[in-house]
Order: sequence, then C-alpha cells, then structure tokens
Amino acid sequence: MGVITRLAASNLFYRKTKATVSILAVALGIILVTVLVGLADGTINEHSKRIERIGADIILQPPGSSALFAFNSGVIPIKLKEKILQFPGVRSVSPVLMTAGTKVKDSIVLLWGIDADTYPQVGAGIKIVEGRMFSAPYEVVMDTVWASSKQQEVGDSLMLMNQEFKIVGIRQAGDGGRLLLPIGTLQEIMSAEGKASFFLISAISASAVEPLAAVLRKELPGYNPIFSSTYSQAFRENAIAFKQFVRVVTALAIIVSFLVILLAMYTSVVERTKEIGILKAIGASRLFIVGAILLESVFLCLIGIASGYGLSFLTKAWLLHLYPSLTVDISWHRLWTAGAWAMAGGIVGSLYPAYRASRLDPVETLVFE
Amino acid sequence: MSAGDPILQTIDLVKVYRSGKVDVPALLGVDIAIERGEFVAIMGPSGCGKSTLLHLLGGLDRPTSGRVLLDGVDLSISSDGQRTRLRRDLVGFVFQRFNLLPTLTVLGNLEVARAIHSNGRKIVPAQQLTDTLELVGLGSKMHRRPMELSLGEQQRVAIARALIHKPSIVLADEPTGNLDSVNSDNILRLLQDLNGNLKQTIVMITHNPEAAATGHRTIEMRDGKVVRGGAASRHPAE
Repeated sequence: MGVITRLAASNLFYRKTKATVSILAVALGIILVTVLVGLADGTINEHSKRIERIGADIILQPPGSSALFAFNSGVIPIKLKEKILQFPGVRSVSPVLMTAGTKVKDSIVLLWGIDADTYPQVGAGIKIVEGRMFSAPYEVVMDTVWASSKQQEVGDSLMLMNQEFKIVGIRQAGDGGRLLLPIGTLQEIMSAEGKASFFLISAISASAVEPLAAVLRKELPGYNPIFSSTYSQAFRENAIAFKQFVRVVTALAIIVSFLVILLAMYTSVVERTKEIGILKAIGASRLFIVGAILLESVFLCLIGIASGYGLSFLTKAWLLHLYPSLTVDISWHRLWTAGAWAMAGGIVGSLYPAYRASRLDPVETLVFE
Repeated sequence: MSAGDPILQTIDLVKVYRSGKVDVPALLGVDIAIERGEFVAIMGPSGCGKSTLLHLLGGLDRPTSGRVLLDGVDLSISSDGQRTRLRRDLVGFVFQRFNLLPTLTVLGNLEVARAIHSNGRKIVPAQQLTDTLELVGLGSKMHRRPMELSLGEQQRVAIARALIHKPSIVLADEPTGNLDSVNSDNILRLLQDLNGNLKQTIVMITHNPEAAATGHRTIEMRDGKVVRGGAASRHPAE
C-alpha cells in the first residue's frame, strides 16, 4: 500500500467519531435508495407479478387508464362482459373490482372484489388450503402470507371498510389479491354497483390471444388490452410516479453524500491546516494535496457505501420481520446505482475542500494554531 | 552559476504585510549572502523579521520588492509551481514545532516526504530513509508514532525528514525553541555534524546566543534590517 494511501487511511481513523458519523451518513443515503426504492419496487413488482400469475391471457382496462389501474375505482360496466364473450377466441371473462389502498389491521392493502364463479375459469384457479371459498356477501378469503403476518384464522372476524367480514378460507399466496371478497359486496360498499376495475380474459388457445386483443381494440375503442405475459413491464413503464419517486430518493441520497463529505472534508482541511502547510513547505505540489484529500474522501465513501449495503440488507430483514407481507426488492442494479451516486456525491463534495487545501498559503498555515 | 557564487543571496529584500488597511513592514532592504556549506545563524528579537526572511529564502513566500537568489534562481519572479519544485529539490525545512504527521509512524512521515521528493528530479531510494534515521539516532524507533517520542526525538525525526533527499540547504526555524538544554545540545551537535560531514548549507534561526555560536557566522537582525554579519566572510565549501 502506498504511503499516500496509508496517509489518507490513517487520517480517516484519526478522528474516529467524525469518521463514523460521516460513514453512517453516506450509508444512510445508500439505505434511502436501496430500501425505500426497493420497497416501492418490490411492492409494484409483487403486485404486477401476482396479477400475471393469475393466468389470464389479457387484462382489459378502461379507456384512458394506464397499467396502474390499482388506483382507479370501478369504471367499466359489468354488462360489457356479455359483449366480450361474443368476440371470437374468448373462453372466459371475469370482472375484478379493486379498491385503492385500504387500511386493514395497520397495513395498506388492495381489496379485490371477484366473481367466485368466473374467476377460477380465467386462470389457474384459487387453491384453498384451509376452510372454503366465500359463498355469502360478508365473507372474505385471505392468502397465507396475510393470515400468517396478521395471525388470523378461519372463523375470525375482520373489519374491512367499516364492515365486519368473516374469514371463511385461507388460500395459497402467489397470485391475485391478498384479500378476496365478493364483487357484489365490494360494489355496494364502494357505491360502484355494476362496475369493475378491469376484466381478466382468457382465450381459447395461445394462438388466439393476439387476434383477440386486436378485436378488443377494434370493438372497444379506447379500452386498453394488455397481455398478461408483458404486464409487469407495462406496469413499470406506466409507473411515472414511481420513476419520479426513485429520482427524488436518489437525488436526496446524492445530496446527503455530497453535504456530508463536503462538511467532513472541509472540517478535516481546517483541522489539518498546519499539516497541509508542512506538506507544502517540503515541496508537495497542489496535485499531491488534492490527491490526498480526494483519496481520503474515496475511502470515506467506500466504507460508507459498503456499510450502507450491509445495513440495507439488515433493514430489509428487520422490515420483513416486522411486516411479513411487505416486499423489498434490493437489486444489484439498484445497489450499484446507489453506490455510484454516493461516490459521485462524495467526490464532488470533497472537490472544494481539496481545492481550498491546495490553495492554502504555506506561510499562513505554518503560523496557524 | 559558478561553485563560488553564494547558494543563497538576497538583494535589497523588502517584505510588507497588509493587515486590514495598515501596511506592516517586516523586512526593509535586507542584503545577505550565504556560501555553500556555510552554517549561518540568524538572531534577533521577536518581530525583527527572522522568520519572514527564512520563509522568503525557502521560497514559501514572495517579497514585496528586491530579489532572492536560491542556487542562482530568482525566487522573487518564480511562479508558485517553480518555487514548489525548488523547495522540493533543494531545500529541507525544520520547524520549531516539528510538525510531524501524527497519524503516521516515524518511517511513515519520512515515506511521505520521500513520495513528495520522488515526484521531482531526485529519486530517493528506500534505503535512504533508514540510513537517515540511523544518522539522527532513531533507527530503533522508526515504527513508533510521533506522540510516543520525546520532544528531542520528534525534532530529530523532523530533521531526518528534511534530510532524506539530501537537500543543498537546510532552513531551520528555531529548531531548539521547544527543547530542554540537553536535547537542544543534541540537536545542535547533529546540525553541526550534518554541516561538517555532509557539507550541507544550514541557515538556522535562534534566540539563543549559545546556539548561534555553533554556526560559522551569525547574522543579527533588528527592525527588519540586518545589523551585522550579512555578507559572507569565508568560504566553507572550498
């Protein structure tokens, strides 16, 4: 290891408290990006994957909607189902009414109102692991993840939108909504009688899917048929708010790194004014001084980034322990992006202190106390 | 530049500092000449301009007017970069407060200096570091940190740092100012040995007449002027 590297490393740990705080602040930026974005990312991914896994071929959304239909209330007339069933290539159609995020037992969840008769026909069906499918208006079926995380069992009561429901079944998690209730009941509660949020459509064969989508576009102008197989991609592409959220969080992380490193290195330069003066007196060039300061910042950032990575996974584990129904996707791409931006913020933040150090007047620094 | 020319020379050197709106004169027309291999002490009361003169001689600062010639190069018209290179290649500085890098070991402090000097025209071999530490009597303490050494030992490290690139001239700003009499004597003897054995030119600021007496010549200053001993009176290099 070169002596300048050792100088930078030893300076870093000479003032342990300051170094630790700076490292934690850089790590905080990393955690912000990886966990917060990972949480949003995970929620969106998980939601769209669960819709994909239902097994329908086409998801038909109302006119003017994006893939983010979860935030739309019911606007499609249910009676449209009969018309769709007349189109060539259609095997079955099932309407779904979905609420916007609803608070249930301290969690935000999307309630799915489904038609118990047609829902199993459009996909792989519903695998009940305990109890039975609902058969009365105020009955609800939940998935295993929800039941486990909320410690609920068949026979328990559950308040949904100020209405008391009875849990009659627990189904295998993995597709569709976590809480399923009769579509008629949800329409009544939401004052959306005769309406659905979207239709799940299955075709008679794989080769019939694309022609069917073309028919839907032609016969139902403005409606938006999305292939189930590309739903996740379409969902993400339309998630403008999500992209803005990622940008804002990433920008915050960069600003945190920038300011922390700027402050840490600035105070470091002031504290070490005399040392820098000595280095200049014995012939250190400006480039040498700038290099030493930048190297110290790089070390600070690297340790902060590595700590941030570790703490991100710990935070994820802690969140999942507290809220098992959450999904936090920490991807390598996101880790790499967060690390690169934190490093960039840190280096930019150290440029001014490094420049200032290189411009110090050696005579003034030698008399500095 | 012939071998007989002074290695350091100032001609009508003036330095005026600006403090707010007030001009504070530090040097008022200083003329001195120092030959190669000379050991010169600069004495005078506090505020007489000794340190200012040393800084100008080492190219740390620029004069308001007049000239400073270091090995024939006029520092008064040299750029910051040129003066930095001259300091790196020709000058070794020793300070009253040692100014060692506290986070590194004795050897680490010398390695930093070596890295700086090796950027210039002098490549300092690694062996030079241990040789220099042996020279100042600290060969056995090279892995200690400055705070684990006595003040006298710290000053020896500072001297070793100033010597590792075998500079033509060593500028020492009150090198014994922070030391007790025993350590002061040791440091002065070391500087004498360096001057005698390695033929290095030494310019030392001191308040102490006994310390000044260890040199070949004493330049006395008062109120920004040289009042005695400014001109070279002998030629030690010959």
